[in-house]
Amino acid sequence: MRSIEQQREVSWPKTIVLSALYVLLYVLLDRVSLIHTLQHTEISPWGPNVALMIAVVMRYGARAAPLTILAPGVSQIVLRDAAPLGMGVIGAVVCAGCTYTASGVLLRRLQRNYSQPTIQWFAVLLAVIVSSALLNAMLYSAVLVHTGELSAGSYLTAVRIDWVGDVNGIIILLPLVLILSAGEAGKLSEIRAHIGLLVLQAAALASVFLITFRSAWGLSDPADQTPFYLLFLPIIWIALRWGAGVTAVALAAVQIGIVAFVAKHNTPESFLAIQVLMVLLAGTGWFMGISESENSRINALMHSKDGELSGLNARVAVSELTAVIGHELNNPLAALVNYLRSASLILELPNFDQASLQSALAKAQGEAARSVNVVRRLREFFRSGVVRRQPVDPRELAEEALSAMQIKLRAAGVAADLEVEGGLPPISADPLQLSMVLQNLLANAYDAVCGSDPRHGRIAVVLTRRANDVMFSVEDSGPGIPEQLRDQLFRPVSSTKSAGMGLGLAICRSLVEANEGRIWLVRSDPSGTCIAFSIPFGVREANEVNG
Amino acid sequence: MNSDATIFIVDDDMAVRDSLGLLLGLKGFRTLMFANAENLLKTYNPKWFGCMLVDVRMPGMSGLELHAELCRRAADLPVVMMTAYGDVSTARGALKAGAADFLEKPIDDAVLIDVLQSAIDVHAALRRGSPAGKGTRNLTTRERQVSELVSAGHTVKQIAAQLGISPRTVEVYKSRMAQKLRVQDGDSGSSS
Repeated sequence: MRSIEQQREVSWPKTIVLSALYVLLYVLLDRVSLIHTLQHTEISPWGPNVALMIAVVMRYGARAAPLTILAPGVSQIVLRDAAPLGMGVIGAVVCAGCTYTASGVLLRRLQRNYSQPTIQWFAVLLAVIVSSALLNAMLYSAVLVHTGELSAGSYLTAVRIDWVGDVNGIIILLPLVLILSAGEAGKLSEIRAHIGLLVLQAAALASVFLITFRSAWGLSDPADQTPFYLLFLPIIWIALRWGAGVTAVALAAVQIGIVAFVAKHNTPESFLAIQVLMVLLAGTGWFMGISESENSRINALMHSKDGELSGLNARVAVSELTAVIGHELNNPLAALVNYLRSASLILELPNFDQASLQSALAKAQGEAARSVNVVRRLREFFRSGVVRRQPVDPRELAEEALSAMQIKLRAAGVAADLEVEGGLPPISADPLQLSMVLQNLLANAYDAVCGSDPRHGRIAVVLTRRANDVMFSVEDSGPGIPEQLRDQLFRPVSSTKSAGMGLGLAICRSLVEANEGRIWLVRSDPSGTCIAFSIPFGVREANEVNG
Repeated sequence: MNSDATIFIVDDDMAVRDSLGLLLGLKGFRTLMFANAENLLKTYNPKWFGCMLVDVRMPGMSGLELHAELCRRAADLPVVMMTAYGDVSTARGALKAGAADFLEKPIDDAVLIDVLQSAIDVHAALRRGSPAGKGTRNLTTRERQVSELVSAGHTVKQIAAQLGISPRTVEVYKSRMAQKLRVQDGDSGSSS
């Protein structure tokens, strides 16, 4: 708790500097956006400043709101000599300031994890941007008509230009800022390895850019937009090869090129047309780039590196193991039982032979030792030698396990939720073993849910902080575990019906206990089952709590 | 009764083979042991009388293949399958192919003796020319007897007395039948 409060504690000098920088940057971007403005207004088909505003709100949350709401007013005063309390300033603050701050807060609530953008995330982003930009354009143009800066007849034109400009500014710059600030660390090394290809792609983009706008520089022909479509080729190439991050940079480069070299050679109409096309280009690039990023993430999960057991393999390994244990262990146990039974039969004989009794007991002892050896060998095989404990982020662990199941869950229409309590400390555990435990529990939950009605099935993974450990609960809405199985759930019983599951849980237990944790059944009834396990915090965290 | 009956044990696990031989010997059975199916087939004699106790999983010829080969040779010797890792489909397959019974290791010795004894009885009846051995395909002879008595409303103790086996063994049969027939065990009142 202490650490969270420390984070929230505001350092004023830093905040003031950052705020001043923000306002400066905002005014600057507002200034460069003034290209082909409409009549005497500042409405133009390019609005990069708005992207900065939303990005800041998404990054810092509602506490940035006073700044982002007021900055458009400041910009009005600086750039247009507006009276501090005049209609222009108030209009800018109310329209742009409030609308985009609100949409930033909304987007922040909807999705926080920008480092791994999904198609769904982008679709939501797009919907919020397009609708808030339309709202702002309608409101602000109305203000301008009211103040007389805009003729009433031009209202619809103004709305159109402002809308296109803001959507364009946001769609190109906002994802760039978000993805780059979240950092796609893995990509950097890949980029370094294939720098040649990237240079080639950059050259291709630049030459297509030159071909496209060659006519625009010399003799502008706004009616003919065909050459622009050439730009789709290099952008798609880049998106499919590199995913979202590099596409973001390429799109920004094209937009800057257009603003810097092309805009002034065009009429306002043809510039507006180019900006609309840029929105299309960006949308296409983003969708392709993001789905490529998603694909490569899934691939990375599937082909988990270093020959570690990946998600799917873990499940297979568990069922293999049940067969191996059954075969390896039951034979010595069977012989052991037979020898012991024989020994007691020998004792019942009227005048039994001491030597044969000793021999039977010695053989029984031998079989017991053999069973112990089998268990030891299996355990070593399963643990791959040692427990490699290290600090592990519980959330990351749960996310990874869930995403390994995602394809199966989606195909069955099963809803899976992850609820993570804020401020979870790292735990000390072997991540591979814990992910096998989680995946085994998830696979059981999946089987339980699919046994009844998958369409209404629900699986939830809940992570909670407790006094000394983190508790992972896996809940499902399946039909529950039969009552007679509950007592011996975590014992390797030769349970007849669902032998795989019983043994799977026994393995889970030994893995959890090897990591100094505990596993137990929280509840199981016809409305569902919940199994939980706990893993202690890393050493430093535990000390902090105890002392 | 057991005087001329022999139990032919086929298991690749030396300890299992040896311990079964010891146990069955103490119970008064004559035993013959084979480390694999091929060895048994080499010495097989159609005059053999008794019962085979065969492990399903063996290197080389499996227990199921051995059974099929014996069927091909028109052997009338009953075959009891045993396995260290029982899965329902293997058991069902073995019983459908005509195995006398299917046991999961480690085997309860009371059940083992009873299964072997009833298989030998069936074999003896077959040799005498009576058709007692043909019955419900999925259930073994003993299981069929137990199921008939259960459906006639007898308690476990009565059944045990009637068949000359222990009540615990009857319980084992009941649960095995329930599995095979996928019947939910509804009358728990009669058991304890």
